[in-house]
Amino acid sequence: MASRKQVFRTLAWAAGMALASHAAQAADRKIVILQALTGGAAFVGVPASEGMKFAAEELNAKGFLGADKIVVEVADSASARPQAMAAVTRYAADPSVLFILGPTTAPESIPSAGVANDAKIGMKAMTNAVALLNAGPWGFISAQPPVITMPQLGDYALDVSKVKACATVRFTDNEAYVDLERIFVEHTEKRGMKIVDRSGIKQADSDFSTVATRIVAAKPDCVMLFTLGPSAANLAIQLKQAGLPANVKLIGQTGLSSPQLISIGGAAVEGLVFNSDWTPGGNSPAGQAFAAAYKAKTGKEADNWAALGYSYMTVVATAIKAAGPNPTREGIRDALAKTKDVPVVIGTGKYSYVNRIPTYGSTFLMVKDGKFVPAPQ
Amino acid sequence: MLDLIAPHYPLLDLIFIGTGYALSQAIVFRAGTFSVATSGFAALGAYCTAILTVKAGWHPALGVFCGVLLGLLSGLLLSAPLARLRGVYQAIASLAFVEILVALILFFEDLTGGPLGFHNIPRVVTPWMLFIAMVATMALLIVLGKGGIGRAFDAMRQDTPVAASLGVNPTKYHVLSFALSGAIAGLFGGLDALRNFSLTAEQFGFSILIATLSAVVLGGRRAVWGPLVGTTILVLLPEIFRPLADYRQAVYGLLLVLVMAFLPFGVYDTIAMKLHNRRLIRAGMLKPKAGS
Amino acid sequence: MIAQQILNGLVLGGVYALFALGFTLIFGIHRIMNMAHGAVFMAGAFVGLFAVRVGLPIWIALPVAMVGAGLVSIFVEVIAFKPLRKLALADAELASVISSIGASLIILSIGQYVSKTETMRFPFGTVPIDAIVVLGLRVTMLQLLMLGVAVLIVVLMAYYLYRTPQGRQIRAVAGNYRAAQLLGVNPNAIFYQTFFLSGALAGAAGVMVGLAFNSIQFMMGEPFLLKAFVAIILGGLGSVPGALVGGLVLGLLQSLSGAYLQPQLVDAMIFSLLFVILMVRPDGLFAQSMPESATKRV
Repeated sequence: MASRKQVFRTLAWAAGMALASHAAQAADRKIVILQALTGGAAFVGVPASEGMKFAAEELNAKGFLGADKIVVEVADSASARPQAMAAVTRYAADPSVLFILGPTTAPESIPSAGVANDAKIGMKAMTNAVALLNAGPWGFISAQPPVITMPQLGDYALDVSKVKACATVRFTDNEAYVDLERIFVEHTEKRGMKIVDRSGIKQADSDFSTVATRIVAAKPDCVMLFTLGPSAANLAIQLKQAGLPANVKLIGQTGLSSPQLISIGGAAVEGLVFNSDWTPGGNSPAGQAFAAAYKAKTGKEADNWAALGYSYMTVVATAIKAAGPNPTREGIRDALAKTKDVPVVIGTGKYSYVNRIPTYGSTFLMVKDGKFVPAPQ
Repeated sequence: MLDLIAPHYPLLDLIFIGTGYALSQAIVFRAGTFSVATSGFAALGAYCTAILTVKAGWHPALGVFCGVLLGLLSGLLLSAPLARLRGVYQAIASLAFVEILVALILFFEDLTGGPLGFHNIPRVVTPWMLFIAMVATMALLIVLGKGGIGRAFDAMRQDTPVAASLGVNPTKYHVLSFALSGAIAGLFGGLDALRNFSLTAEQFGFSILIATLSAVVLGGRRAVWGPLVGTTILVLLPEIFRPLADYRQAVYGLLLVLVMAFLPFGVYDTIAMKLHNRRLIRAGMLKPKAGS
Repeated sequence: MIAQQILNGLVLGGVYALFALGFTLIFGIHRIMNMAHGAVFMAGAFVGLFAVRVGLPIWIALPVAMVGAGLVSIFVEVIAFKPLRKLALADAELASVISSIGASLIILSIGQYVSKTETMRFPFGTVPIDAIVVLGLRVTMLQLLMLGVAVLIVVLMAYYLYRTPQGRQIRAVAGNYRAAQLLGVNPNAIFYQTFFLSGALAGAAGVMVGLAFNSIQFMMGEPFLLKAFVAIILGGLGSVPGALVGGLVLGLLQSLSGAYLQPQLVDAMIFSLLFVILMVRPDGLFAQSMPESATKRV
């Protein structure tokens, strides 16, 4: 028969063990944010990593992973392939790192996915380049690929903007935009659109007088812009200077979603329509809440990239949660591949992977009175 | 032990491959030609290897071998037009060659993937293989350098008419220097492709051209060790100065300016020269310079 | 369309001509390639932009930008080229290319920091954007302005080089450095002058590009530098009229090939042309008296 002292000691010991194991269960779940913080893609990488950090803080504050916390470490890929690959190798060798959010651009991410598959660590890159998936099951893309978004944009152009003869302009030295233009043309030509001219410019170019004259001579009723914001703004100005009639519609894609489109384009981009992942200010209660909270915390307006980063971190955190109480790299990878209808602030509000292709819908925006507003549907 | 090194493989990769490219560049400088065509030869070798290995299903070693051959051939072909020019004109002509090549790689999309790049190349090459390739190339160049070929190159670089009058056939050695340069660049281009999963045309354009040139000029273009020293400095610098992230470019630029001002023959060569002179002075064969 | 494209080409060519002129001035006199020329061009555009932003009208901002770029150019001379003057030409050639690349990176870094990598433009209304239609061609006020300014600057430059004592001294040093020194010409002063002039020309080109093409960005110099090689080789390294003609021809070429060829081929075409010129007539259209390019073969 145990003495009262012995029983008491045993109970105390048991209670102590219970408390200790409970405290030990509050683990750190380490995610590395590997983005282009310097270099050519910094305009994407910097706001994206801000959005990701903000998401992690919010999720921790509301106890999303229970007692566990998301711990982030931020690393710079410098928009360069060797740095990105080196960073993936380095972090993969650290067993406390569960997942890598990044890199930013396709040229960095596709070979990095090869490294990630070698090292068996999950990696979710910002890019939408489907070629990344061929490297193996550990690499994920985040943005919707052109096969999903361009048919939507093409249908909008034909059915809502009611245009019939388009001239296209694309970056020839950025594979993402080459792809966007190619798939847009494929889809719309099948539906009977006439493509009257297909011009190319380089990312560093600024003299578009030649392209503008060429497009005006082709007499289109719309000009499709597969470039980034500053170049599109500049093109719009030079098109008008070359005599593009006012009733020719300017249409673009997500790459135009930046404040510089308006600050550089001014009056020339009024009425421009493009498909976007993010409606500035948010187009849902969750989106509006995010926009307000982000502005309050960082002092900056949430832009396209910040909203994407915020959403992607949410998706990864959801996968970590779904991978169970002791998430392993494999578990997270499998849970991520099964992502379905995770609430996000981009697109139409729900993020899913279908055969590892991300889908979350698009919204259409228009430039009106120097601001981005929802476009007529 | 391997666990300690493994996270740093990417840096070693960069040093080994970078030194290979720098060696290819250094050979033509040693023979007195101001050509910067190395990145073009490397592009040919890399894409040749990748296309044969991935699209035609050949064995990677055979793919690399063909890359070397293609590099060598293009070196031979380029040597003829460049022989008719001198100095800065050679540099510009070889720069034009590289830019044309990059534009053509972007144009022939079906073959090379164009701007989308050439992806999913199997990673067949290990850091050890790169190390062995680098060491073997350096050994080959040291041997050649000490022999007749090296002396002929030095003679040509310093004064071509005098060299010719001494029986050195400038054309033969000029062509040889280009063939070697092309072959070496083709080799490391092929190894690069089989190590780093994918290729894009831009990676062989103006920036790698400048990086390779800087590595040679920083390290020294006479001794075979110069390229290795220069490449190592340039690869380790971004790592050492990672805390300075935004200012890395400025630091890199400052380094180039300072090294050229104080060690204009390159780090290795200048130090080697100073040590050599000191030895000669001590042996009484050279009078010390006034004020030194 | 072709007449309009020719006009576009001439305007672009005018800018190329200014840029090439600055580059060839340095080469003609010092026999060195200034790889920092593109960075100086960018610096000029930045100075011009900030001058307009603090309220100066464009016709004052332009000379201010030219002076600013000239000073940046002198900075390049002091840190990149001066230390290497003691070396023999053959060694200095290579080292000065690297050194000027280093200087260029430093200037680019400052530009990147100041602009936070953003693309900027001159404020709306800095220059009127009206266009007139002449003989079926659409000509904007801006295009007329650019052509006018380019012509004016070139005429002033030519006057300085060929009609003033300072200009004669510069050309004397270009011909024979030692002889000029013996005759009492101070070479350092000459170096500072030529670098200042070269920078001023690049700065003017930078402001014009910023005005015409709405894009001022810290990397704006790189595509110009590469293309400028074509203009300079075509005209002849070191030749003033050569740089002008070369620049105009390049502008026309770029415009016409952009109008009629597939975009991916434009670059291949321009650089192939460069290569062909080097093979056929490397000294360019306006060869100097001492052929530079031929190899000294027995």
